Amino acid sequence: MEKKTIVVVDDFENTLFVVEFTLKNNGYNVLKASNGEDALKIFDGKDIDLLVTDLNMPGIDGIELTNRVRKIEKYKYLPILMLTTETDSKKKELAREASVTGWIQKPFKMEKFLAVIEKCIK
Amino acid sequence: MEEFKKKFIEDAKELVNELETTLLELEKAMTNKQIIEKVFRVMHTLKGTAGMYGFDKVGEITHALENVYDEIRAGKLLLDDEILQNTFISVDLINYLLNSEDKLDDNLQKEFERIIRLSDTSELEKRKDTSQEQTESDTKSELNYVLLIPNIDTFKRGVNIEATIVELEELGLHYIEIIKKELPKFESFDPTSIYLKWEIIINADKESITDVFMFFLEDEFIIHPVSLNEIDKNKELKSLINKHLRFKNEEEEIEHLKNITQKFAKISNIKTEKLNDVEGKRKESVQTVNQFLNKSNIQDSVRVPATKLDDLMNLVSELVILGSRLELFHDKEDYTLMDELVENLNKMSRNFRDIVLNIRLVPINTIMVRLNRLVHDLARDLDKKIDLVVEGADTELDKTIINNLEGPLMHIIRNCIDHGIESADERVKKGKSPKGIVRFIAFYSGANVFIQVQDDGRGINPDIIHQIAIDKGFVDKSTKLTEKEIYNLIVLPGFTTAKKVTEISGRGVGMDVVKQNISDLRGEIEIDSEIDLGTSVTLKLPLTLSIIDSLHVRIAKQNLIIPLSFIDACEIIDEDKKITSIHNNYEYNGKLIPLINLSKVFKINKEDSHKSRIVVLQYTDKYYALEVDQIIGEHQAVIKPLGEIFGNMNLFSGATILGDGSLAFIIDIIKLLKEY
Repeated sequence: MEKKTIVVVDDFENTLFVVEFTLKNNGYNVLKASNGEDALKIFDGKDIDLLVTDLNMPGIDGIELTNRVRKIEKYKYLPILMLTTETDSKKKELAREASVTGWIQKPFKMEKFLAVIEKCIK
Repeated sequence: MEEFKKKFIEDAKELVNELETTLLELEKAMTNKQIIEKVFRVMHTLKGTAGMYGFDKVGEITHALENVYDEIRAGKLLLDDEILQNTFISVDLINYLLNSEDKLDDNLQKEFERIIRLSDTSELEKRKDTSQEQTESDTKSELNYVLLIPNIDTFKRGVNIEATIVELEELGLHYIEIIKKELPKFESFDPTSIYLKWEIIINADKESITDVFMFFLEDEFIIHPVSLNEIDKNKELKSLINKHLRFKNEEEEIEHLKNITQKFAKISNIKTEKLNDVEGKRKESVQTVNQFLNKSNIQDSVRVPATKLDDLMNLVSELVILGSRLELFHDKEDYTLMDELVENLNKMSRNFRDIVLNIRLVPINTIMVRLNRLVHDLARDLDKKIDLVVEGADTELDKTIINNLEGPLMHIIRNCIDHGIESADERVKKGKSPKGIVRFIAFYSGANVFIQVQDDGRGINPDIIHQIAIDKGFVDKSTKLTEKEIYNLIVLPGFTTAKKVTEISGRGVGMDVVKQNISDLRGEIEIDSEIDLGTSVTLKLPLTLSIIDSLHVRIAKQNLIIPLSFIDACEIIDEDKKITSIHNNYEYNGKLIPLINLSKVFKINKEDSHKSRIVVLQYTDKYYALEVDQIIGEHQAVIKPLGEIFGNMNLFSGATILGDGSLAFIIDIIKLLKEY
């Protein structure tokens, strides 16, 4: 079984650390970036199975990152999960516009988070 | 008769093992009727056969429990902690009886009699009074009509519809109809768009269906409760789906709905009939143990002595070697006709090898029963609250490895519970949940299986470990060690940190024995810890012990073998690239990676006549280049251990025989990369 690679982007170091720790412990390969610009550099043609990004970041935010990644042919259909504090009704609207696969509302429980990841990556 | 008796004991033990798992499940879901039924059936089966082979006490005790569980499954008695605990004790008693030819010592005899008394009618009546008010557990089925209408660009959101449907199918009895009405003409068909709709009738509750559709927008699916008889009268549903399915008229719509419900009804009838059938057969007098095994959906299996498998394995090894010899001979002589034959032979022997290897693979959950029980018992003995979370229990490993793993794993888990996890009071004071968690994770990575045991307990204080190591003279006071190095001191022989010797751990045999056992399996052990967050012990084990796919290379006349699992690429050194190689770096994919010259490492004089070849290795996420003289080709190496005499040659993990009968050493890549 190949290890799945997940890119995690968040400007908040604590979230980044916890998410990376959890994913690695659960057998995923994790690549991380603390802003949108750095994150884009990761998408250089390597095999990536999932992008998990924060919505609100200085510079390139989650939505723009999604749009830019989707423009790259290889990642056109990549599952993308967005971390957010937005409320339910608003996020569905945003999802449609940004062609995001799913949303995870912060703060989240790790079990729930992992379940969503697993569902998304399958 | 003796032989039948042996067979009975073997089968019975398997049944009891199964029962233990079932009981642990039951502990988590005490009202689950199916599980209770299962317990009852095992008791019933054991009772039936035990008497025949002279195990009267087994018969008696199972009879008693059968009575108790009969009352429970009839809903006349409520299963409580006490009954469950007594059942666990009974399981131990049965196991003991099976081993001791139905004999008990005085103490156990008392326990035995106590259990038997439990099923006395008067005892049962007393209990019934207290549990009379229980209600029927709800096993009501919920039927839902689901319409999935994904947006045309759903794929572009990265949503996997196929996986969603598969997940939905797992929820319960279902009928799925795919609506292709809107499929465009071939010329205008865009494969990245979705034109299909799914109509599903499924026996599952709304909440879990909604959960499956997590990645779909609210207007992409409709879930509506239905009942089979009146689906065509359900006005609300009719108007809901008419919008999306565009029927010509109401008759067509009703016809359509009737049609799919009928199809669903058909499926559900078949299933119920089958269930009834099984139920009916169950009541037929006494079953044999085997019949029971077949009916409870356990995989069909043949029990084979492990030595037979070993013989088969040896034979396959010989076949693989013979194959490579033939290939070598054929390469030299060039018989065009033989091409296909040799290739086929090799392909077949490879498949044969894989299958034989597979036979030896057993899922890790075969030892989970014991570990689960261990956690359960320890938690009770030490009065701690503990949850064992298991992930990847279906990960498969060689049977020999699994068998030798049980001891070490039990020791590690004991450590977690005894030393790691704090008492409930202490945990609450630290702001943790009173229930400790022991996590057991197994997963594949490359040609290895990783097993991780984590606890969320008090962790290990590196300073204490360091101090003990100094006191015991393992390390010098002046040496500086990283935290990781300190933690891994724990596995040194004679190192035990338990302040108090308890029944459970700290009897002098400690992690050093674990380490030895793991090393014997060609595995590695690593300990990591964080104070108050917990400790994790990671075992890295080879998937199998005997054959690896590898690359055959040569330095001067020396044959060497590199496991294929590490290799990323093979290259010929260009003249201009060679410049960088002087500085012990090699340019690969535009990056400089460390270059290791094997002829220097092994102190073999290089032959100048050869242009150097580079083998690029990948280990964790780093790349390394190995410089060799010649790359010969792929080879299936049958690993033969090096004898004692080569004990200090730690850069080799073994040797193998090549097709021409000569010897080649297998390089232990991890050690090589660590040392150079």
